Amino acid sequence: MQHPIDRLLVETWLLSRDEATFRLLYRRHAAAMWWLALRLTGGDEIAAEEITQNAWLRAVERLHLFRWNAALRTWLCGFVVFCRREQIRRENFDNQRFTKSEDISAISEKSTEPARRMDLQAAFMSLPETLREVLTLHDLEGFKHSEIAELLGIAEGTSKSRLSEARRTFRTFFEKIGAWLF
Amino acid sequence: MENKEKPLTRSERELLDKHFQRAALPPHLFTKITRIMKDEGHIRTPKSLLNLSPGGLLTAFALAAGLLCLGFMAGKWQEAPPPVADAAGNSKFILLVHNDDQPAEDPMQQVKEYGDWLRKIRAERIADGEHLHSNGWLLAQNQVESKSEFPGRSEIGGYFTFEAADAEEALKIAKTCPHLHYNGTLELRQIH
Repeated sequence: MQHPIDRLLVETWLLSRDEATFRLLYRRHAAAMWWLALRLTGGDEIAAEEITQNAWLRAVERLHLFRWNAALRTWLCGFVVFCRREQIRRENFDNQRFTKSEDISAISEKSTEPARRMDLQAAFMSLPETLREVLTLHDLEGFKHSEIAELLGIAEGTSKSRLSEARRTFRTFFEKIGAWLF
Repeated sequence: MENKEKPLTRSERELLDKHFQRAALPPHLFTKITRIMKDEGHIRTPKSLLNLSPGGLLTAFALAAGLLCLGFMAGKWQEAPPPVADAAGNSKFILLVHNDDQPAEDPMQQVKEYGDWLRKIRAERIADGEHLHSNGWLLAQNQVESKSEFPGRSEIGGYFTFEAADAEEALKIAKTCPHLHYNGTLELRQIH
């Protein structure tokens, strides 16, 4: 949903390029971008900070091109997703090693509490990036499939099928330790 | 749909949140981002505002000055600055406004509240208020450094000054400042 304040602030900032107006924009959306980055990185604060920073810097470069056909926050979160992918590519992240469900089942079932909590995080991070993105955006952040499709540049049907697969894969592991954690 | 493909339950979401939402937005991140934006020319220094056309300058200044600035200025525009002399023997206090308030859902409403508050105070006593630029300098002996180099330092966004009979009355007035409604911090000091 478009908020008139966002448009007012963006248009004012594009005119003035001043820090005070940018601060207002930042205050409205930075927290949401940070949470998304934190979730996408599995709680890695250093990585999330880098993503949030780069997302803002990319967004302000292109703010004059934004056509208001989506909510500003959705548009900004798109940069978070983009920068997360860029970060993975830069670090030569080997996503393939996390794509097999066998890896998830290999996580210990007899570990101690801290280890099990780590296991849950590991299970979430074990999801392939494409699945974790959709699971995070839809089930944790509340985005609609149409918005996710716009954000990730995929079809709505792809978003739905990825979500189903993500939930199924995550729960395969979650069932093993979930009852204990509750 | 398989059971495993149903949306995450509230318990599942909370469990994940517990693991992944432990850290708050780093307070120094804004300074980091704006510093790069200044280096890359995305944020202009206040001086460059003077290059705008008169109409653009008026609009940009009024809106870009932000919540506190507009709040304070709403009071300034009402009348000329009052005399600073203390004719009635009252004490003078300064209320420092920290830039740590929570973002308002409707920023313009917050602006209006600050302005209304200052106007209400000025109806009864000598009072004033100003907004401070976020840029500045820290000075020590033989040393001058940009304030932006100290991201962890608490930032003062502006101040109010007003007269009161004593500290008790000053505190009573300060407690009505709308900045507190937005979880912002105020610092009240008596001026000698």
